[in-house]
Amino acid sequence: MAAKQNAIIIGSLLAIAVTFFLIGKTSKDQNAAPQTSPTKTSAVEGPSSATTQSHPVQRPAEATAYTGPNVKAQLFAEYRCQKPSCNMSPFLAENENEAVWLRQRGYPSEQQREEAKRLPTVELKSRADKGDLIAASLYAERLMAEGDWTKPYPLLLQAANKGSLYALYALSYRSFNHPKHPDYISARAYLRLAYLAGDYKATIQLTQTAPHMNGQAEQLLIDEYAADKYRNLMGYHSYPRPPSKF
Amino acid sequence: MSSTYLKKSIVTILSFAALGLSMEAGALGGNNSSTGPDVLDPETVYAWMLSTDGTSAYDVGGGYVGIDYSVYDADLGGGDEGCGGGCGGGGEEPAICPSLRLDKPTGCDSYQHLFGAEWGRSMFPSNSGLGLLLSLLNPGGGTLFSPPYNLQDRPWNMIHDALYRHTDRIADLTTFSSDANGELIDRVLESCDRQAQLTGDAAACYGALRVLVSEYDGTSDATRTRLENIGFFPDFVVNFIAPENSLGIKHRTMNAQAQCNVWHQEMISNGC
Repeated sequence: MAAKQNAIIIGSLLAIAVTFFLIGKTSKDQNAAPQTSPTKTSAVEGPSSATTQSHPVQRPAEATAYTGPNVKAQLFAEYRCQKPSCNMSPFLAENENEAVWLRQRGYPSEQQREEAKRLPTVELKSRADKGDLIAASLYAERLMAEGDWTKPYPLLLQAANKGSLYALYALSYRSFNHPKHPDYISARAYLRLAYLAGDYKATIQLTQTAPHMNGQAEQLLIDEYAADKYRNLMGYHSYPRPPSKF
Repeated sequence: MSSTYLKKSIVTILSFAALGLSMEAGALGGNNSSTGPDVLDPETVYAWMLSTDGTSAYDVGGGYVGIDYSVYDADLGGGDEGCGGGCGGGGEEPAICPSLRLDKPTGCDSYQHLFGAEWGRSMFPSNSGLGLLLSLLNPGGGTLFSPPYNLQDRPWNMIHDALYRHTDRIADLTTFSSDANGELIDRVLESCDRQAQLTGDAAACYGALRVLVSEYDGTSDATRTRLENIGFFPDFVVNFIAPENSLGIKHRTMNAQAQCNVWHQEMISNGC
């Protein structure tokens, strides 16, 4: 009889504990899922590949699947070009699929940039350390804006290696503007690499970055360096940007 | 016996429940986003992305601006990212080093100072433009001209300076190679003219220049006309990527080494 009572008590407690456990797990999962409301979008989004990739040359973790009509629509609202002049901007989307791709490939939306603007550098770093590709690039850009051109380099390389094509734009920016050793060839090579890795709109930025470095000698070097980085830095991974017309 | 069993079961179950609650708390706690005084101006940071000339809109500044970087420095040696088996033991390198190695240019072995008129001499074919020019400067080093052709002091210095500056400009990763090559050709033409004024014999100098022009298709109209008038305009073209094109050899090898030097500097700056 006593044994039966004990069994009942244990069973009840077990049921309660499982309930609490599930509540906690569900809550955490919901936090990890993509934000559906543009007004609550955090810079800490996208796949957290820090724990899944212990070595930089491993294949980057698969990006979070942003599925569902509402999620895609919200992302499109975030990345949508609002002015006629920005139609071909590599940082904006012309359809929902392109918006999802931008989020997965580490391109910050204007909303995320605004949010990052209000964050202290330490907080931005913390988010980057957790594996947030967008936060990593925003943190690197913050450092450069504050005059530190050294630390952003490995940060951006790591982000690019994990699948952030936006980090390649930031690397290009860094090479072009470096106060001690500016390098226009690399500035263009990183953009050429972004093109090779799937962002066909990178050519738009390429035409605007050091446009005078377009001679035969420079083109050969840029293609050679981009191919070199495509192998070593990106591991030949490609993430095709969805066509803008569909 | 059953009482002890009951107590152990309750402790286990409560721990399980606490684990679930702590996950919830952690998830909620990790979502807070504090705000602070640091302000990033996107108009300046991102202005370059939509600019038409690729120029930066904001002032780079010379150093750190009131930021406590010890926060970041403390992290350089820690963390679990990027070590990939490369970290360990005493005197371990920063965790970021493997990431930096991903961008190491192929064939980049060591830092090499890039300077001097004769840089790359051993790589240039003796009958190439730069090979002939360098043989004018140092006939003893081997020349197609026999007997050794002696430049006067002034044209010798002019050609030497022109080559020295050409090396400097090619090593500069912001200089358009055509500008450097065009300048070299113009200055060598000037040197040859001076040699002709001094001795009346500048055939070897113009001959070297003729080959140099054949390696560079962007020679200015003024120089082309001048060479045509004196009978030294090349009737052949050496493809830029051909192994006989000394300008191409110098540009490719020097640029690759300059890239390598920058990468080594980055490694040192990051403590790797």
